[in-house]
Amino acid sequence: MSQPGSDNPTDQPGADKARDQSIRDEKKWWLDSPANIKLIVWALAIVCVLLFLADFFYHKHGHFDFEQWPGFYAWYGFLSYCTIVLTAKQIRKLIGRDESFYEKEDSDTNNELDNE
Amino acid sequence: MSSLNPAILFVIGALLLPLMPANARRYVALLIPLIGMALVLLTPNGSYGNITLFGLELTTYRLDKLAFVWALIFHIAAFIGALYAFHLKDTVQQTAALMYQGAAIGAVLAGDLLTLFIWWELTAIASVFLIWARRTDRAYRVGMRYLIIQVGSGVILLTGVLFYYHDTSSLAFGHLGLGTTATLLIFIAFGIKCAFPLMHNWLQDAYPEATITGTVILSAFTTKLAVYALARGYAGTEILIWIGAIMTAFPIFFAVIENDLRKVLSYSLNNQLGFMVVGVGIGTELALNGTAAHAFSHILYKALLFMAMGAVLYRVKTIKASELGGLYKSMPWTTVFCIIGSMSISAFPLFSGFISKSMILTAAAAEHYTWVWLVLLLASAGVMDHSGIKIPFFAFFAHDSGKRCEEAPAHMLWAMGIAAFLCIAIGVYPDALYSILPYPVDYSPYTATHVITQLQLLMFSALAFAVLFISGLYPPEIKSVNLDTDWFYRRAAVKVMTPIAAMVATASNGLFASVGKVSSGSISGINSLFGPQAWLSRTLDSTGMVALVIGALLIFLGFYLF
Repeated sequence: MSQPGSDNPTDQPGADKARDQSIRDEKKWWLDSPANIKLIVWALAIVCVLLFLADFFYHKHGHFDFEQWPGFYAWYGFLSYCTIVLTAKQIRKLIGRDESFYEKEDSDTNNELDNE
Repeated sequence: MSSLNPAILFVIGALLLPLMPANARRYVALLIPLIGMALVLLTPNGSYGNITLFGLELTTYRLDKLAFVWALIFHIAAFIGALYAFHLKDTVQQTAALMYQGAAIGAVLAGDLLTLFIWWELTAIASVFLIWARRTDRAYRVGMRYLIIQVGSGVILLTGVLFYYHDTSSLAFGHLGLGTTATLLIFIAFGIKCAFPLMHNWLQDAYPEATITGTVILSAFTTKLAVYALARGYAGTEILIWIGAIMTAFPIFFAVIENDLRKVLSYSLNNQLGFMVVGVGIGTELALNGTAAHAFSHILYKALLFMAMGAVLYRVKTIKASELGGLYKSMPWTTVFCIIGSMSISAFPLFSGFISKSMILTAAAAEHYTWVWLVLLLASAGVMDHSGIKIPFFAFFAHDSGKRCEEAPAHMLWAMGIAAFLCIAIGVYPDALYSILPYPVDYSPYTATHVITQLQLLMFSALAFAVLFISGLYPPEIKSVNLDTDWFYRRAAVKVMTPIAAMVATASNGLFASVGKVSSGSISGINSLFGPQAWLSRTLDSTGMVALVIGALLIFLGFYLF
């Protein structure tokens, strides 16, 4: 984050514009296109469907009975993931604080003395 | 000659380092781990460096199958760390790193508890300089907190060792097990360094505040030394299964909402330690092999992830997820290496985490710890989130932050490249790692069941991410800090202690003031009698003096007569 009084030249408004311009002029990357992102998501969905169906075509060796349920790992993974992320989101309301809660100083390297 | 303790080599190197010119120092830092590794590889298993000190039998160098795994990976980590830090000219960091690595190796090779204690404390003292080397006030305070807790662990260890010696008249570092006060104290000392739940927060407090290269080096040694010590002393201690299971689960929630990506990795490190602790707790041959293998592969992929984040911090000057994104355009190599680290820690088939973590999960299932197994599986989905997706996604992809920088320096890329190569090599050819494990391995990770179920778990976790992210439910990266147990000593204790300290200050001031009054009163009293102007100090003429003496003698005579 740029701070007032910072001596970093890219923090000047003029430099900002120049940087934006240079980013616009850059070559376009494959991932820059939203259509390609959609492609990745669809590919992921198809892989998931195939993996789910794979459960019907091999004999599963497990230690527990519930491992034999079709797609046990698939939905256990999906639900675990959602539970973790959505619970954490709620926990954030409880324990989230402003960045300067403990320390006014930044943990970025800007205020570090040169020791390289 | 080959039975020279490599730790001694590191310590001598560290002591000589400040005398060398800057250019020589970085080559020496690279060379010492290689020589040390050669020493360990050439030494047959056995006990060396037996000395008697004040009547105590010490085995300062014990090499066996368990110690070998840790000694080897510590040397590899030391080499990779030195390569990553090749640009440094800072003597403090170079010396501290060598000393710290040597101490960790010495502790792993210690055959008795007293030698262990000495190296244990040296790891604490040497490593704090990797934090202080940032030379900011903030780093100074963090380092102090870190040092107090680390040295505290050592003091508890020493107390336990003394009790243990009193109980058993032996200092041998073998299986200890819980049951006596002595072994409980030693257990707590190990637990602090291993970041057990509620004793964990020094890790997330300190590691993200160390220097760019310091964090990479710190991540490999302290906590894995503690895992080794637990595996040596407390294998099969059932409570470790539950402690470990909690360790795998709770840091995940913090990792998901943490903004500082090096702190995310610190929580993730804590979660990975949980798997190893569960393995120690189960204590079967498969489980202990799993713990050793997981420590080995974990050190590599965790260092790799910290190196990738360090490279970002080095180039972009920030490591906050809220400020990053789109860096794959500027740092393609770092991106690729980071993804390899992410896939390793998430335990994708063909990557190192898969062949080690699955041993621990299988061991838990084989012993019918159903709930523990379900927690470990949930934690595996959590790893997929914070280390598998969050780290690479928010640093290198996500929305383009507009930040453009150079690719990481060549030596950093080489260090990452070596770690990435080893992550894949272990995953593709696990037998190499399996052959050095403490017990014979009768385990095959690449069965259809393992591969398909693991892929199901991971890909459906990824699908869950896609669904949550696209629907906007995924928690955004925002500038914030999250409270953890450090709040108790950074805030609550300060809040409680400040009025108490103020009361003590007032009381002592009052006390000293009244003491002052009394003393100044008595001093002025004495002064008025004996002071320069006082009657008794006055220079009287000799007649008066004689009269005084005669008077005094008459009084004595009076006492004598009556």
